[in-house]
Amino acid sequence: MSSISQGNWQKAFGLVLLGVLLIVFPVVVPDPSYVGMLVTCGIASILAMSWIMILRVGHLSLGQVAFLAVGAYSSAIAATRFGLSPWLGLILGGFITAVFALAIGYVVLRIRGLYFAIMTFAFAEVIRLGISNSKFMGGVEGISGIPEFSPIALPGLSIMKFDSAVACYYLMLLLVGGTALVLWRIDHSGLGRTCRAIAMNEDLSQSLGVPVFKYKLISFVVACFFAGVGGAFSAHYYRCLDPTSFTVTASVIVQIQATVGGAGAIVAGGILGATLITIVDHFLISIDPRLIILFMGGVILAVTFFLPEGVVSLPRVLRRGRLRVGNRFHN
Amino acid sequence: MLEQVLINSLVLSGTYILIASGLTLIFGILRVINFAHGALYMVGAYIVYTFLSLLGVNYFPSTLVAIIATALIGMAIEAGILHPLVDKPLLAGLGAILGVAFIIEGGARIIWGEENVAIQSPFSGVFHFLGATVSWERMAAVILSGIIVMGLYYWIWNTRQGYIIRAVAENRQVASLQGVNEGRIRLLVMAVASGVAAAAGAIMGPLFYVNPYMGGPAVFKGLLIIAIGGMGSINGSVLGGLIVGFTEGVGYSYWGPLTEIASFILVILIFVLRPHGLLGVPYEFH
Repeated sequence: MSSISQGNWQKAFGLVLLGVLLIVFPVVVPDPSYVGMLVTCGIASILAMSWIMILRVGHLSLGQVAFLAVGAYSSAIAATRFGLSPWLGLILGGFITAVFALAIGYVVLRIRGLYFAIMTFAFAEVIRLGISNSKFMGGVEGISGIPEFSPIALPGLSIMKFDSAVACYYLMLLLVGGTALVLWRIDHSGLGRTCRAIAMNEDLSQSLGVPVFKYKLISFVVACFFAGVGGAFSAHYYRCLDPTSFTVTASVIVQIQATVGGAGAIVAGGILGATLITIVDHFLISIDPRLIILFMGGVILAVTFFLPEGVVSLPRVLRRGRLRVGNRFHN
Repeated sequence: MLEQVLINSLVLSGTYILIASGLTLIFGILRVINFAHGALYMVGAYIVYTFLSLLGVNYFPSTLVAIIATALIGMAIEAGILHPLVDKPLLAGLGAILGVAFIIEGGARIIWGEENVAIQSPFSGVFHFLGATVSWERMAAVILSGIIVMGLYYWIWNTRQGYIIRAVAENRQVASLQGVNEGRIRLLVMAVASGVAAAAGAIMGPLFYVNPYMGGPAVFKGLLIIAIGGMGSINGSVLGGLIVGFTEGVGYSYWGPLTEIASFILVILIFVLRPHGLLGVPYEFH
């Protein structure tokens, strides 16, 4: 008993330490390129968390960036064409994405197994090609000149402007923290446990009276809502958008990030995998961009064979004293 | 105009069927989406390019080398990566094969560079048929893909090996109980499917450009096709290949770039009506 509570204290202490480190990071390292790199990590983390959330109900999504695109484009169009405040755009992006997810989920969540993956891929490509072929949405050139987040007056502080990476970094921390909190709470609630049961055996859950389709739809819509918010944030952070960032390769990379981090843990796995890979990519791109896909290919292979539960499980595996190669002798 | 549309559609269908039939075979036996299939198609085209354009070997021996080398790569992938992950969760196999695809593509970008290269076609000239002018280049691609698809059909439906393969696809436990060496069947299927992918690369190389990025679009188009036809069904991949090939062949001539969306909308509509593809059987993986 005491060891358990001691572990919880250690965890809480670690989280607080991590939070403090993240908050003081831009003060200690004011280099905008590093701060910008962490903002990119944040967007990738939100996406990876939403991907794992869908995996929780037993579905493999091959089109997660499409929901990022829907959020980004709705907020960007609302801001550039109708002058909507980016702050409202953040919410609008999330809600429009949720509506898309409701409509798409209504069709695809009835389909099981790898067919689901192919369907999400098909929908994602329809969305991407629809954007590329629409004059209204900027076509292949995309949208540029998206306004940044308008300054806000913080009580007790001066007016906060969002023209620098540092200010966006703090906003990103809030968004990732909020997403992590909500998804963690859902995962540890009755809904989360039911979702695991559905992933384990859908027919059995159904026969026990679990409204399988409803729960799947809820998870899917919630996950995509956050992807949409992340997208809206990225639109106002990068301030330009074009459809080439939303190809199926980008969705595949989301899967790789989440698997490397550990698809068994929504928050820790998603954030860790996305952050690790984004940071390494950031350094590799300045050496030779061709190394990026070699690295991602190598790391996913290595993780599959040596750390089947992802980087998240590394401390546990180390404590056990040995790496169980591929888990081959255990089940 | 119409005959050009027809021949273009047939050329596209040919490539699609070659890629999709390999994917569907691998899916049926190895139970994994082979994301590296497009990479093998790309490697096949590059090996032909290397032997033909850089070393000056004739087209047909180069193609033979490409098919054998790619088949060996496919067998190595199965033996080294997919087989150890047989009883692991689906995600492990999918992740590993994605890793293989990324490594092959990255390797190709380093070995062969990132520019488009061209393969000189061994066929030239045109012929006239019922008043239409058709280039031999394209006709040869159609005929060669047709021969390979027919060979594959014969192999699956009329030989003992094909019989065993169908048995394993239907139920691997029962097949193993009857004395089938499943490991060997997996290797065989991987070798044949990879060889067919390389052949597709060799056939299509002269008609389109060859570059390290050609694999991704190929494998995802192949996925759509086997989804339309029904995953695991060879007939389905032929039907799906013809449907997508003709939609695109006709579409590019009359609608332009919007055609790209057509095949995706098609797959969505087909799935709403038939959740296991046109010729697929209800089948599920965990």
